[in-house]
Amino acid sequence: MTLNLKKSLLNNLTLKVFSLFFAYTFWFIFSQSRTISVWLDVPLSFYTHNNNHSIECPEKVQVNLSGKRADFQTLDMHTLAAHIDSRELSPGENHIPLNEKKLFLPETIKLVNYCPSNITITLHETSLT
Amino acid sequence: MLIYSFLQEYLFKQMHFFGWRDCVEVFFFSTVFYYFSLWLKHDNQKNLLSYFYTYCGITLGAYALQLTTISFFMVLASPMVFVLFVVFHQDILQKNFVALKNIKPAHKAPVDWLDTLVRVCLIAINNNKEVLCVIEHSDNLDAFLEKSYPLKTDIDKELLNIVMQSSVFDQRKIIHINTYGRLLGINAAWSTQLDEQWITKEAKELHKWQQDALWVTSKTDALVLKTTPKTGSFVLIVRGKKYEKIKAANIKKFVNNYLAPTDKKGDSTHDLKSEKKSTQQPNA
Repeated sequence: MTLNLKKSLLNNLTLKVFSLFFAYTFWFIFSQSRTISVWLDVPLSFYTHNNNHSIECPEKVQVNLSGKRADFQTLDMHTLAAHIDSRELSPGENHIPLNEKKLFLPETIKLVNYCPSNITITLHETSLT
Repeated sequence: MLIYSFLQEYLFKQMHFFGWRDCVEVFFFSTVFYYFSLWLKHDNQKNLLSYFYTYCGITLGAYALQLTTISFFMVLASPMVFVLFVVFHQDILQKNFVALKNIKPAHKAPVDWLDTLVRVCLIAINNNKEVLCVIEHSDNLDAFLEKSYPLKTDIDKELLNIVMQSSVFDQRKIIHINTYGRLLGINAAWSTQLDEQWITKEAKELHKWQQDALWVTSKTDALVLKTTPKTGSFVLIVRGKKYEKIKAANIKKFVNNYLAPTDKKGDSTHDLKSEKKSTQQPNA
C-alpha cells in the first residue's frame, strides 16, 4: 500500500513538479484581483502612554479583514496592530470601538468584523512614590 | 541569504492568506495541468509538451516583466492554443485524419502471403524459434514502430527464411508486414508509451509485448501474431483481445475472417467470437 503510494507519487515526478509550479503561478496571478476575507490576530498597542497609569486589556484581538489579495500582499504583517491613543482613555473601564484608522489599514482593505466585539480596556491610576 | 530571507518573508505572508479553499484550487489546477501534460507527453511524433511549457513560460515571463500587451494576448489566445494542442495531438489525428490511413497499392498482393507466413512460422516453431509479427491493415503503424531494418518487398518464403536465419534477426523483436503481402521491416520495436490509465490489473501481469500489442490493436486495426514453440501454437491479438493456443490450421481462418473486405469493423468480430468459443480461448 505504502509502496504503491510512493511509486505513484514518484512516477512522472518532473511532470508533477512542473504542473504544481505552473498551476500555483497561474492561480496566484489570477487570484490577485479576487476579494478575500481573512481573520488575523492583532495585538493592541497604546501610544502617548502616561507612566502614571497602568492598562488592563486583552493582549490580542481577532480582526476580520476583507480586500483584494494583491492588497494583502502589500500589508506588513509584522507591524499590524490596533493602535489606541491612551489619551482617549479615562480611568476605569473603557469600551473602544475598532476601525480601519486604528489598524492603519490602507483604503483598499476593509475591517469587516472583530472579536471580541466589545473590547474592554481598564485604565488604573498608579501613584508615584 | 537575501533570497532566503525573501522566501521566509514571502512564506510567512502566504501562510496568513492561504486557506484550505486555496489549497483545493491549486490542487485542482495542478491536476488539470498534470493530466494535460501527461496526455501531451504521449504524442511521440511532435514534442507538444515542450511547446506547452514554452507557451506557459512566455505567458508567465510576460506577466513578470510587466509586458502587459503580450501577457494579455497570451491569456486571450489560450483557448485557441488549447484547441490546437488537442487537434495536433497524435491520438486525435490518428483516428480522424485520412493521411495516416494506408492507401491500397495498385499492384496485386501475393495471394498466398498468409500461407507463406504461416509456413515460415511453423518452420520457426520446429526450430524452437519465436516469431513476433505485426500485420498492418488500413491504419498506418509507422508512428508506433521503430524499425532497425525498414524494408518494402513482397513476402516470399525464401526471403523470410533467409531473414530468420540471419544473424541480425532478433526473435524478440517484431516483423512488420501488411495485409497487402508486403514485408515492411524487421527487428522493429514498439515506440509507444502505454497509457497508465489503460493498463488493467490483469494486463499488468502480462508480458510487455502483450501489453503493447493489446494497446496498439485496441487503437488500430492491426493484428499481432506470435508463435509459441512450447505448445506449437499461435497467439493472436486483435482489437485489444488475446486469442491463445490457435493451431496452424485455424490461424489462416482467423486472420481471413478479420480481414474479410465485405465486413465492417464490427461484423467480423462475430466470426472471431464464434471461433473463440470453439477453441475456448481466454480473454486478455
